[in-house]
Amino acid sequence: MMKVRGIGARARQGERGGSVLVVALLVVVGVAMLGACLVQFSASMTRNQMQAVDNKRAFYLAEAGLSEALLGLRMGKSGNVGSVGMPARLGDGILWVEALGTPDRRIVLKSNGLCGGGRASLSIVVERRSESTAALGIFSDGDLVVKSGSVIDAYDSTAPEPEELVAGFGGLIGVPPPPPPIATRVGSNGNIDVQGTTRLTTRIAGDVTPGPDGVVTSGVGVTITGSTAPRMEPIALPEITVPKLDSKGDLIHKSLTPRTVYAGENRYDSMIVGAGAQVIISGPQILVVGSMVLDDTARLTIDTALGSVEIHATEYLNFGLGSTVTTVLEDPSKVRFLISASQAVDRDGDGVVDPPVTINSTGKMYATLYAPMAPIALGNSLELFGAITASSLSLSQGAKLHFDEALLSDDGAGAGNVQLLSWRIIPLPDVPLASLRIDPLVALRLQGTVLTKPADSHQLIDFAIEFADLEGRTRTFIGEETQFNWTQVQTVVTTTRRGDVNFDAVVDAP
Amino acid sequence: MTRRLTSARARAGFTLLEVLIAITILGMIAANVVMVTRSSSKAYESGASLSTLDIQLDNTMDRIAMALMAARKESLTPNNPSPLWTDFLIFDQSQGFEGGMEVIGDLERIELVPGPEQIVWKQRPGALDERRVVWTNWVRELFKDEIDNGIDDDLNGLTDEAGLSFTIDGSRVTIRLTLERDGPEHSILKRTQETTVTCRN
Amino acid sequence: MIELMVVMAVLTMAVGMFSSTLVATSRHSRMKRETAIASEGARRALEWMRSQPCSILFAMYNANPADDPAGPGTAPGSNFLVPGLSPRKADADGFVGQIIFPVTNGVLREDMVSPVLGMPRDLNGDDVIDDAAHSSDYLLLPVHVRIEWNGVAGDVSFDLYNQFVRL
Repeated sequence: MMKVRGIGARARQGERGGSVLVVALLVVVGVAMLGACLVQFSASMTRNQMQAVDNKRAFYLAEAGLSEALLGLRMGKSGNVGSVGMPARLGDGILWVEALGTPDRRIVLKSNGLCGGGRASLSIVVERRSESTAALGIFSDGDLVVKSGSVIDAYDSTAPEPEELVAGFGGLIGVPPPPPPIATRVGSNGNIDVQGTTRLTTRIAGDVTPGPDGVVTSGVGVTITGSTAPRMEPIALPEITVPKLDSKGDLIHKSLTPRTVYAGENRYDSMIVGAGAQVIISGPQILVVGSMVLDDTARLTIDTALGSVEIHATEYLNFGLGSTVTTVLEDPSKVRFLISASQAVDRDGDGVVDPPVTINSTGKMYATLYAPMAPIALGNSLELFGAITASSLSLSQGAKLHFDEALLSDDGAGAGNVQLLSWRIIPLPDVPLASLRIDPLVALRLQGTVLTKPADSHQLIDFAIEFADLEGRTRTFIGEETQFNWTQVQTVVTTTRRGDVNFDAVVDAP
Repeated sequence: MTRRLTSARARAGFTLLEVLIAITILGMIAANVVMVTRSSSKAYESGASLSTLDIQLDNTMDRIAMALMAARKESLTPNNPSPLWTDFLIFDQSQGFEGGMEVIGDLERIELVPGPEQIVWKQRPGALDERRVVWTNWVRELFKDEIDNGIDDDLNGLTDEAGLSFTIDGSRVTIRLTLERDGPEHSILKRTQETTVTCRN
Repeated sequence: MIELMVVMAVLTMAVGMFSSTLVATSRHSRMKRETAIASEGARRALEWMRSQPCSILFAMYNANPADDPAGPGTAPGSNFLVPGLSPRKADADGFVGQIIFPVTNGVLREDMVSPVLGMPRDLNGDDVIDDAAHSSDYLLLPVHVRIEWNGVAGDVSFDLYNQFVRL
């Protein structure tokens, strides 16, 4: 009996054995699935967050591409940097920029930045600035009058100093050869009257060029070493673009302690420097003032040791008697006065309208002055080194002006010949590299593409095409033909390639 | 005799002690599993809520930043320098050039709309064909740790600034945003971000 | 009884593994949060630089206080804080953020080698790579913004690259 019960008991245990393990297995499977869901959720969150981080990286790479393209434009290149098939590498991503011309002579730059899973596309519209106004020399939009006793010549601020006379062994002296003659430029869009007398002679060492319908009249005692033939066409003086800055109010300085306007971009409604006071303007700087007044004997010092200074006077400029404008460096290309003032207004209440520009400073001034809408009468107390342009110009008796020939190579801004007009974010291009959110460095490595740095990715110019794009807009492309995207072309207007007779003319056209 | 023994053997069961022990052990196991599951689900919920809040904050901040980067500086309204702040900004963007003329886009407005606080982007605000998109909910009424008491509680130079606030300094716009939502077990989850962008136009 | 013990052991292991998964994902989330904070800090630094004229960027954001445009020590310099990130133990100055230019002995040089910044390259637009100082006449300024911090995953870093051009 005992034996039978024992066997039965074992049999019952055997029938019930292992059921807890099944339950445990189910629980383990459930927990494992929970874990897997958690991991998947976390991975999804991570992807989102990393996408945002990579997008930031890509955005700044795209901006770097725009900077690279702008530098290329300044250096006379096409503005194309790399291409979708051969982008440039910067940091941990890639970039390429496409440059397209517009019928109104502007350039649209489209830059694409890719980094990890991030993508960004930016577009700017730029415009090349017109030829240097400083290169005009001494220029008047209207008539120009040079009174007797004046000297207008030229020099080159970048030329090395002539070697000193050296006494060698035995008394031998080495004398350097004379430098080539430098010619000044005096011109107008109207007539030019150069006055002189036998006692007060006037000398102009260079060309004097009146407007197409103008003439040069000169009296006795006048020496003009260059041509006096009129120009073929009048020169259109470009408008001044005043930077939009927030005003810091008025700057009125009458204390004897010098006041410094520090480098950067600054705007004042008015700047008044009192008698005997001194204001120092430190470069690099863009300074915009509504009215700039130097009282008699006031001093304005422009420190260009660290960079150039550009001063905009939008309403009124008056340098009083005995005031001085000095520059730390004797380099006119680093100091530009851009005077958009044009209205003659009675400012001191004496019933007499005051001209928008009055310059009665003394001493030497190394600067370029550009006042296309204001007449200027330059006194003989100021000796100007640089260039000056005005709506009409009158040089008083005994005036001394020295045109700096180095300004001929100035690109017009002292800082660049490209102006940014518009900036915006645009949709990504419809190319696989942009659409597939994989690391572009990996993708391109698999393709065997060798990436170059941005400086080496500027496209050579061997092809120019004018075409209508898919939206019917007329566009021009100048760059490497192998990098041109033909899929954006609806109809071709013209094409030229390096070696064609008119290629240089097409590429260099403004 | 054999049949009686078999049915007797078939009806035999567990002892009370065996059952009690089994129930106790199973109960302990079940309790442990439930505890772990509950605490892990709480942690999951909290983590998920925070992650969602983080992503919402980053995305919203990026959208505002991108919009303002492309804005024309002179179009920013109101132009409030610190310590003045505003909870809305009106601006427009350059769309490029057509036919030699700059094309300016429609007026846009980013603002904090109260009750419940949400950030709304509007195109052509106030017009009949105004377009609006809610960029995020969960915006805290006041920024970071600010309390509506007339004091600069977070010592950032601004007083009682809203959960979304802008200050302008020349071409720079500083954006401050705090998102807040309920977490598990009546907790409050909060995330704050502050950034500065420069208008490129 | 043996069965029960085995079950308890298996369940304990399963729960333990699940807990460690939870901890790992939570830690991962915090890591990503720190990276997002770092990227925002780097963006902020670049945006502040963007608002300044390119011509004074090098002087304002290099490590030399003597050339600061508004006077020695007045510019932000090359180091900056990012709220929410802790500096590394070995970080002497306690600043997690750094702005890096292609310099040699503090001077902006075209011949400095830095593949991530595309160096060596011409910086002043004369199409020549020389060994002169270009701290004031550069036309293009490559910038590397680096954030280094000590986070939940130890010492971590984040990088952002950009270039500024003088118009």
